[in-house]
Amino acid sequence: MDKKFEEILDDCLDRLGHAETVNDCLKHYPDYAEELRPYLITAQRLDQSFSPSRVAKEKGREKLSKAMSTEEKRKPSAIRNIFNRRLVWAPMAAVLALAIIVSAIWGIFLPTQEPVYASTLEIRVTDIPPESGISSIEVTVSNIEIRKEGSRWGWRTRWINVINEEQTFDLIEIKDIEQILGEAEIEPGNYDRIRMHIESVKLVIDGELIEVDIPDRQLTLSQSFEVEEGEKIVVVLDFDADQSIKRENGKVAFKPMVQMNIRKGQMDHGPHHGPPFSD
Amino acid sequence: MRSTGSHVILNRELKVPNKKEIIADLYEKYYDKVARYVFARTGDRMLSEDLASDVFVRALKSVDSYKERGLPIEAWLFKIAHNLVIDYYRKKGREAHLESEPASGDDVEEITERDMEIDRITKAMEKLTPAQREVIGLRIFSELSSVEAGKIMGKTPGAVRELQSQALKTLRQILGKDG
Repeated sequence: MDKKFEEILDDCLDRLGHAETVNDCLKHYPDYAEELRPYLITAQRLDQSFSPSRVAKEKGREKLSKAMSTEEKRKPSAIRNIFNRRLVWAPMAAVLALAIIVSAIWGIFLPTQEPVYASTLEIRVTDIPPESGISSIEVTVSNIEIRKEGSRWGWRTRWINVINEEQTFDLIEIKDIEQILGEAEIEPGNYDRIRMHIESVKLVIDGELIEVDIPDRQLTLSQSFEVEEGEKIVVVLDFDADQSIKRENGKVAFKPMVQMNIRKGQMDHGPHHGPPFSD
Repeated sequence: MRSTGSHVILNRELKVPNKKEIIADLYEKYYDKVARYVFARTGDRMLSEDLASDVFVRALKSVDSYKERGLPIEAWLFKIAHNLVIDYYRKKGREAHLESEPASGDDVEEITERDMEIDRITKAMEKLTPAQREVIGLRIFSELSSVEAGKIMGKTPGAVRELQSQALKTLRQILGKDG
């Protein structure tokens, strides 16, 4: 199709989007009017074909409102409790003021350093085959974070979110393969923990969906690794499905037993065995 | 930081003094456009309305990680919508294709002219390629500019113009016959 015509059509679509009529648009391009008209009428028909209902929008608003309340509940309340105590304010303000002064002095003597985001972290999951009879162990995790070690120059140890959204994987399906959960650009430096929130576990044994208890929803693993600038690091979380599913007092519980492997390019730093690290 | 898990390609921190307010504002401003975009992709009215609200719930959960790198927050919403549509079809275990929604009620007389028009458009949209359908969704149903649509689709504005021209040509031919 003629590039000139494509540009004119594009401009007319913008004009229709800004409440101009088909005839208004055509007046701008009289030489193309005959050719343009059927395209614009088609666009107008599409535009007028569907709009969501007010009822649906209201329902969606309620759904969003519920999600907001849930988010609020999930936030730790300890900090808020501290701030609610009046007596704590004065010393805290003093400490804060002191911290600002120290930071200012620090900033004068040390050049500011912009963080470099040139390295890549990829997180994968895999699995050791479980007992027979289990046909599905669907695990949903969210909020995957890694912990960056502090430095003697004053950087504090801090948690960095690498994958925020929920990720689901089936421990049966990932047997013998590695499923990529996500990838993130991270700062070069030393890291020593990875943690995630276990949202849910759906277990199917002999065709029956079993309710699974998750005693600890925070899964934290410990292994130090260094990320150099421009380097790609692959973190493989190798779940042992057999060891992770526990039967206690007639109930089934998910207590993840995970082996953490760090790969730097072709190098393998070896596995981290054992149960998750306790903070 | 970039997370390809969410397909957000951004790098400047969004200051979120109150993320609930931001998402609530976005909802009021963009719900209709997002729903119309999803409709263009799926051809299903109820699904479009449901998925559109899910887009904002998803946005709420991931707004903390939103960072701008040439992709405005509005475009980020459509990126989430795009991913949710793909997730939906993946979960359903079938290829992404348009599906005509059944007409309301069994009585033919109850089918309104509007329903018939939606049905005609849905069937016509089935003839488009996925990229053409997406460009129609973004440009005509959601009224984004070619530049914005291009950023979301990873295409140049020229490629967007070409896709929309081809798509409208196909739709014109189909809808012209029965319109």
